[in-house]
Amino acid sequence: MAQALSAEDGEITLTWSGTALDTARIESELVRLRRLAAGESPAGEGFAIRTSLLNMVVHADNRERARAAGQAIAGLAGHHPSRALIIITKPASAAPRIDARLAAHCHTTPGLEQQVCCEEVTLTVRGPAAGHLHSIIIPLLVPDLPVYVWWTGPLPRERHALQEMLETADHFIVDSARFASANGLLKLAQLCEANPGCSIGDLNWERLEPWREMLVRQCEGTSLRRYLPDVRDVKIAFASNRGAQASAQAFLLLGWLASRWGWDTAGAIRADGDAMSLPQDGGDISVEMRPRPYAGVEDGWLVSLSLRCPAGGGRDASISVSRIGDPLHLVVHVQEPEGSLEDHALTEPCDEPGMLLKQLVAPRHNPEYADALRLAVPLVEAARR
Amino acid sequence: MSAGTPLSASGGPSAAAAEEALEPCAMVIFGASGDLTHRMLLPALYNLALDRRLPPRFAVVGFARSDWTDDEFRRRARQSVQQFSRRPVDDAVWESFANSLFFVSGEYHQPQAHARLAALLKKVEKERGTGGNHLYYLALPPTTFPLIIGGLQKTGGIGRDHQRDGWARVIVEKPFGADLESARELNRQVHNAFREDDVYRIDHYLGKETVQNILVFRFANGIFEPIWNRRYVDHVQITVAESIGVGQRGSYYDATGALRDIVQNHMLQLLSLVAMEPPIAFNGRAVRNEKVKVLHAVRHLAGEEVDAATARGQYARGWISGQEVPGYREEDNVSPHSATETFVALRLFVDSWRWADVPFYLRTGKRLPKRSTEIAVQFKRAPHLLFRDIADVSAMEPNFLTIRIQPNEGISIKFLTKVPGSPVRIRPANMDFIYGASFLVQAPSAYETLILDALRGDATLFTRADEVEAAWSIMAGVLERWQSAPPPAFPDYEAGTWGPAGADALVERDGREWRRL
Repeated sequence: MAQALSAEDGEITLTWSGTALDTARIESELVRLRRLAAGESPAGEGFAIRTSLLNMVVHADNRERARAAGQAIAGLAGHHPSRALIIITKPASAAPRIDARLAAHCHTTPGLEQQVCCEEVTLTVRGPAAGHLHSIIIPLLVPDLPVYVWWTGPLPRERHALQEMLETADHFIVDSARFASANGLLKLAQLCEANPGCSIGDLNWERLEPWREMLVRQCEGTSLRRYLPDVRDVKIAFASNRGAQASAQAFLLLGWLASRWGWDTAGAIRADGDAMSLPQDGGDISVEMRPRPYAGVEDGWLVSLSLRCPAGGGRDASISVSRIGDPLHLVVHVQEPEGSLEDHALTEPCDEPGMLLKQLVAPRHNPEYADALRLAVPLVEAARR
Repeated sequence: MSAGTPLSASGGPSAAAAEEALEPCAMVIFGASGDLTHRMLLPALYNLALDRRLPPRFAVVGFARSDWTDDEFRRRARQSVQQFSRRPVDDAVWESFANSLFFVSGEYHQPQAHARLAALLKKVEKERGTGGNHLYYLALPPTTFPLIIGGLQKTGGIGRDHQRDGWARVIVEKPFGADLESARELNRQVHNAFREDDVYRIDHYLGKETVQNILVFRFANGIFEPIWNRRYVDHVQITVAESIGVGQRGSYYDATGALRDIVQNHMLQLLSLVAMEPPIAFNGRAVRNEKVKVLHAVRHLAGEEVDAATARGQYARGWISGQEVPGYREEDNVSPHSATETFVALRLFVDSWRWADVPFYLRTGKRLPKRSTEIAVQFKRAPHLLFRDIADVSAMEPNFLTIRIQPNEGISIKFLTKVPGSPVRIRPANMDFIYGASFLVQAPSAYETLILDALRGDATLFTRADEVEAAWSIMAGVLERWQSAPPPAFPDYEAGTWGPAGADALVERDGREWRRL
C-alpha cells in the first residue's frame, strides 16, 4: 500500500494504491483521501463539500488505453467534477483479484478557498471477476448521478461484459474508429436494438462534426438544395496508412446523409470493388468508398467526400469536402450550373478530452446519431457480402 | 440526550469537563463472554475511559456461563479492545480500566450465581464507592430475560417491593419481541422489576451521529422545515442495504427475516425521525412522544393491501465485489427450503396533516450490491417546466435531499444547473456535505454514545415500550398476511442485484423509481 501527495498550481493530488482489495476498502480509502485533501485545503478547517456531476466508468483492455483515458479525464477535472473508474480487465488470470490505484485531484478556485475534487480509481480486475464487473462498479458509483460508460477499445465478441456495462450506463460512449472493423457498427446497432432505453455516443461521430457542419451549411438553405434529392454519385476517400480497408467514419457519414436527405439504404447491394449501389425510387445512387494514404490522420478517418447530382440540361451540380494539406484544414467546392464557390474551414483538433467533453455536455439522447447508425447498418452488411 | 451532550464529540478534557458529573456506578453485563460484549461493549467502554467520560469509581461486572476469573475476563477484554477499538490501546489507561473489571461465572437461572453477583456488587460498592447505582446490560436473547430479572428481584434488591439505595437501570438489546404479543409480554416481564423510566431499549442506529443529526438538520435550521411536508415533498425513500449475507447468524436470521430484523426497529425509527413534528423540548419525553405519534399515524396494512404495498425476496447465488457468494439457502444454519425473506420493500403512509398521501418507501435487503443506509426525500418538480422545449428533458431530474447514515455519513442535495455556454443545457449536480471530511474528528461509536446516555439517565435515544408496541402493531398485518399467503418462488433475486422484480414494480405502479445508490 502506498500513498503520495503532490501539489502544484492550485491543484493537490493525493494518491494511494493497494492490491487484493474489495470495494468497501476502496471506498473507505477514497473517503480517507478526501479527508486528507480537506486537511490540505486553504480553508484550513477543511469543510469538504464535494460537488459531483457524473460518474465516468472507463473500460480499457490494456494499460496504455487506461493511461490515455486517465489523461483525458484529468483534463476535464476542473470543470466536470466526477468520480472516474478506469477498469483494466485481465480475465485470463486464475484467481479473482482487484488491485487499485486511487487519486484525488483537488483544484482550488482562486478567491473562493474552495476545492473542486475529482476522484480517479484505476482498477485492475483479474480472473473470473472480470466477467462480473457490475459487482465491482456499482458499489463504487456516486449515488444517483448519471453514469457515463466509456468503452475505449473494440467491441468484444463475448456480449456479457458489454451488456453489463450497458445496463450500468445512462450514456454509453464508444469510439467506432477503434473497432477492429466497420462490422463493429453492426454489433453496436444490435446492442442499441436490444437495449432500447440506452443512449449511445460515439467519439468518431464528434470527428465527423466539421464535415457534417460544412455539408449542412453549403447544402441546406442554399441553391444547391434543389438538386440534392437526385444525388447519383457519392465518393468517399478515407485514410489508409496501415492498410485499413473500411472506415466506420465513412459508413456513419453515409448513414447520416441517408437520414438527412431521405435515402433508402435497406436495398443496398455491393457492386464491383469498393462500390455499392443504393436503389431509390428515382434511380440508383452509386457509392464508392476508397482507402488512400494520407499523412497526419489515423486510418479510417475521412479524407474527402463528393456528391454529384444531375442539374438538368446534361449538366451536374456537385459538392466536395476534402482535407487539404494540414489535416485540420477542410476545403469545400460547390459546383452549380450557375457558378461555383470555394470555402475553407479550420476544424478543431480531434483530441479525446475535447470529444469527451462534447459527449458530457450534449443531450444524452442523440436521435441524429441513432438514425445514422441505423441507416449505416444495411450499407455495412452490403459491403461484407 | 441531556443538554451539553456533544453531537460530535472527540472526547478530551474540554469535552468531558463541560458535561455534568456522572454519579459513580457499577455496570453489570449479562452475556459478558458473548460476541456483542467482545465486539462492541468492551471497546466502547474502553474508549469512554480513554476520553475520561466514564463516571468516577466506575466498575464493570461481567456475568456469563464461561468459567472465567477476573484476570481471564481482563485478558480477553484487552483482546477485544485491541481488535475492535477505534483507537489503539494506551497502557496506562488500560491498566486503570482493567482494574475496574470483575467477573462472575454462573448459570442465569441459578440463585447461587445471582447471590455471588450480589455479593460482588456489595464488595465493589464498599471498595470503590459506587453508591448502590447499578446499570444492568442484558446482552442476551430475550428468552433469558425472565431468569435474569427473577434473579435480580430475589437477590439484587430490584423491583417494586424493594427499597434500595441508588438507582437501578437496565439496557435491553433487540429484538424486543417477535411480534406484538411477544413484545407486550417482554415489556410486562421487564416492568415486573423496572419502572419504564429505568428501561433503556437499545437500537444502535439511534446512537449513530448522523441519525442524531437528522434532528439537528430538521430543527436547528430554518430553511428545511417549511418545505418538509406534503406540499413540497413527493415521497420519501428509506434504504438499509447490506452487501453481506447472514454470516454466522443463520439460525437466528432464518427464524427472524428482514422484516423483523431491520424494518420493525431500525427503519421505523428512521421513519419516525423524518416524519415527526418538532418536539417542544430536546429531552427524552418530548422527543419520544413525537416519535410515537408518527408510529400511531402510520396506516396499517391488512389482507390484500399487503400484497399491493409490499414485496419480499430471498437472495440466490451471485457476485459481489468481484467475488462469487452463496445463495441464502446455501448459508450455514439455514434451511435449504427456507421461506425466510432477506429483502423487504414496502410503501407506508403517515396519515397526518403534514404527510397525507405522501408515500414512504422502505427497502432493506441482504446481499445487495453495496452497503448503504440513507433517507432520501424527493421533492416535487417545478410546477412549470420552463425549459422543456430547449433542454434535454431526460436530464431534468427531481430534487433530492439525502441523509446518508452509513457509510460516508453526510447530506447531499441534488439540483439542476445550467451547463456553462450556449445553448441552454441542464444537468443535475450533487452538492455533497461529507460529515467525516468536514469536522476531521472521529465520532464516538453508537455504543459509546448510548452507554454514556444510559449512565447519565437520558433515554432520548432509546426506544420506549409504547414505541416498540406501536412499531409491532404496524407490522402485524404484514406478518399475518405473509404467514397465511403462500411464499413467493424463493430465491428470487441474484446476490449483487437490487432485489426482486416485485420491489421495482411496487414503486413503478406509483410512477416512481428507486433511487440509484
